[in-house]
Amino acid sequence: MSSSFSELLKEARRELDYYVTGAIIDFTESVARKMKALGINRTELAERIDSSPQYITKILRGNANFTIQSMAKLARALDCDLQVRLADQHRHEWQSTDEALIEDTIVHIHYDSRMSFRTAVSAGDFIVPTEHTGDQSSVNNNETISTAA
Amino acid sequence: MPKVEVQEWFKGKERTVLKLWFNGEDLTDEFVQYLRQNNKRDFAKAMKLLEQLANGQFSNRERCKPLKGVDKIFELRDHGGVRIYFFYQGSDAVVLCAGNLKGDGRQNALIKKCSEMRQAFVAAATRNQLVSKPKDNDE
Repeated sequence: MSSSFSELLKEARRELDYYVTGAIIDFTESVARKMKALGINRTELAERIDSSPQYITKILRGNANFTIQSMAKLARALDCDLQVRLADQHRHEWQSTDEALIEDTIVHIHYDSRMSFRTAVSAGDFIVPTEHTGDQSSVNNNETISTAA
Repeated sequence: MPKVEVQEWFKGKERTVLKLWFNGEDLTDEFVQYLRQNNKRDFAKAMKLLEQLANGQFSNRERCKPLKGVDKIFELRDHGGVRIYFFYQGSDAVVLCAGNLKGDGRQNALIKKCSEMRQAFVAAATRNQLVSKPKDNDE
């Protein structure tokens, strides 16, 4: 007997890995998008962080052991800042308000016209590579383009 | 002639995700239920990937890319062994299988089956014999 998607999803959201995977996808996707926007390949990005193209592949696959340091290094190499914030929980579109209220964690990405990305990680921890403009007010005007959770 | 049915599974921000039933068998559900019973972590990862497939675009080809040697089937992967095989049907995505296939000796056979399923889908669509299976009750 098959289960409805919302039933399966509700169960998956009890697992931390659901949120960790979302955060990894969000980060690696934002790196890939920024690489594309800047027109740089793995070799060039690797050179910018004194590493190898293989390491960049590992990063893009999400296999690397991410640390705030390595993420900040990548962000800087992509002309971005990495910002860590807390975010309020978020209600999913196939979730009732009651379900949302009991939810622990949330993962989502924001993007604004100046190429800044915000990625909220588990329990509201924010990991945010944003374009380095020196103007931190820009992060308040983001438009949500992808809600990973 | 194989019996092919498509069933709407869920709708996301970017696309609707459908499942393909092949000769009355729902391979996706079979694999997802296996993970649900045996590996909660991979189950959670697979669900996140499916949700992401419905909600976003993948620009990272390490995450989502065409399956080598198999026409028009894409592989969506996590950072471990979880894989989702699907193809695009217009603006929708049709999932063929979702599970942890790392080190699984059946992987090649499974890919072959996915390819067979997609071919059967295309043939049925061409003959106008594609059957829509009612959506599972979400409530």
